[in-house]
Amino acid sequence: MLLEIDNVTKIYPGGIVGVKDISLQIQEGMLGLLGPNGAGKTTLIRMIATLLVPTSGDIRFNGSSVFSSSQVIRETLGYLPQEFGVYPNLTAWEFLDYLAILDGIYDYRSRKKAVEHALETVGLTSVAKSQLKTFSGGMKRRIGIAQTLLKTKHLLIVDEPTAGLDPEERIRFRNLLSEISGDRLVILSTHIVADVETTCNDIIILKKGRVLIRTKPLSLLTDLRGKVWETTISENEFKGLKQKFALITVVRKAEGISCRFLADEKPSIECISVSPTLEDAYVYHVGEIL
Amino acid sequence: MLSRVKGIVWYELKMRLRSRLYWIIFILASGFSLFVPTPLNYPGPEDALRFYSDWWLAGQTFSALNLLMTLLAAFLVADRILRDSNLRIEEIIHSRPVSSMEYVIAKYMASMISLSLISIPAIIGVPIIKRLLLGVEMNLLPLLIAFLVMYIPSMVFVASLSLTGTTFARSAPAFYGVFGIIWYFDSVYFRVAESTFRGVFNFSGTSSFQAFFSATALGFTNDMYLISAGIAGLNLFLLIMVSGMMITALIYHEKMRRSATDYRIHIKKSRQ
Repeated sequence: MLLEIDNVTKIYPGGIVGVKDISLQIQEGMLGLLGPNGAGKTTLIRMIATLLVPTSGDIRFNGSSVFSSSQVIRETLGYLPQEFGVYPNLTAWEFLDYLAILDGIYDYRSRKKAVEHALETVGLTSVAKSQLKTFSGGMKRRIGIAQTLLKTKHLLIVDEPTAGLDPEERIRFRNLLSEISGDRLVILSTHIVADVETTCNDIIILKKGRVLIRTKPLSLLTDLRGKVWETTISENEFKGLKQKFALITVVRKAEGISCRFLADEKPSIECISVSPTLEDAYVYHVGEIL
Repeated sequence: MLSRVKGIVWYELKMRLRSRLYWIIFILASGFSLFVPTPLNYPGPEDALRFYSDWWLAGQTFSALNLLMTLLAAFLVADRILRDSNLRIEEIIHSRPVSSMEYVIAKYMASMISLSLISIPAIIGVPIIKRLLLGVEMNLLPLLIAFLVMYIPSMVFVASLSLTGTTFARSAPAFYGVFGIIWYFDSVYFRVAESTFRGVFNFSGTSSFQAFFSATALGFTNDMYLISAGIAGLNLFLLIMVSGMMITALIYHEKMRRSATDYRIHIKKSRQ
């Protein structure tokens, strides 16, 4: 399985750049697509999902252009968009059955099996006969994942799947994605670092429509060793620190302000070097600071 | 392709039949079409005589049903495609191997079936009412013919206009506003086709009514401009043809929105 993104540029009407000159080769496994809001993640993902055309360049899956062979690619594509809705008057079972028909599973028995399997995988078998209007946001997201599992899909794309979920649902969702990734090529787009930290073996960080970095999670952490610091300081010292360094976390305590920050070399103030996390690495590269 | 279309039609119908609006319109239209042609509305002796004519009664029934349904059908059908976009379902449908033609045709067919079902109470009810009031059996053929030449062509046109208009305008309320004006002039202001021109251009079913079912056509008093069968036939042909053109435009529009054609244009431009 190979997804090739070849010099892809998308410029929206009005000259707004979605993505610019992106070239990537992605193989099976789980890829985390990170970046701040507006980085171009959704633009790139929608182009891979055949829903948006690039201004120039091409995207190929196993050698076939996803645009000129879009119907063929769609046979093997599972896509969960960022904003995902359901038909409120249908039950979970009916909704998935409907989408299974669209996937081309016409035989009732095969469809029943596929729907039951998808519902079981996302843990919604007990509410299969409930109308979707009664579902919580998290349950609807799980239905979203279930609809990508109806047919054997080799390419799964999930866009901001954990946005708006509570912590428990988010963990459940991450585990679910890890479980189903198997021998598929899964692209997980998110701006929540913790989502990719636990699930992805490959990371791409996008910024302003370009690929900022592509690496393995471990390499990202190794590169940052000795650059993450923690200290507890007074209000006055904090003002100076804020101007000089990229702050990652700030917690006000009785003894002062506890800060975690980035610095290439040990600063002059009293502080200790701590093990970097992926979130630190993300802030380091993207430069989104407090 | 047929299996996929069948599946979409089935679920579209299911959703339609679960909607409260559908049943409100169903009851309203049924009541209207059953009440209007009864002798209670036509107390004169000649009207009672007309009531004995199965053809007149069938025409009158569907004339009443058409008056209401040419307006209400738009509310039932218009947002069927736009709704998928509003509910954020469009992307997961478009990322599946379903073609624009399958998608649009299935939505259209489901709309037509749900609209056709609304005429069933009239087809079943009118003969029952006639039997109860006059004690005579009614021949079902005129009702079926009225259904085919008055109701179905009107619904074919209104459904295609509503689906296409709303999808192009990307706003159901905007379409309702414009359509309301069109409906008023077609079905209320110019209710009776008083010229050949009007006979050819209308979607209220009045041409078929005046040509085949009106009192004039049936040899009663001359109270209505007589439209020839040829003009009524031309009217039906135009309704079906224009509807076909609108649905074709809608399929093309949906295809364009899915970008594949658009993509080739972009590639060409970038190579130049």
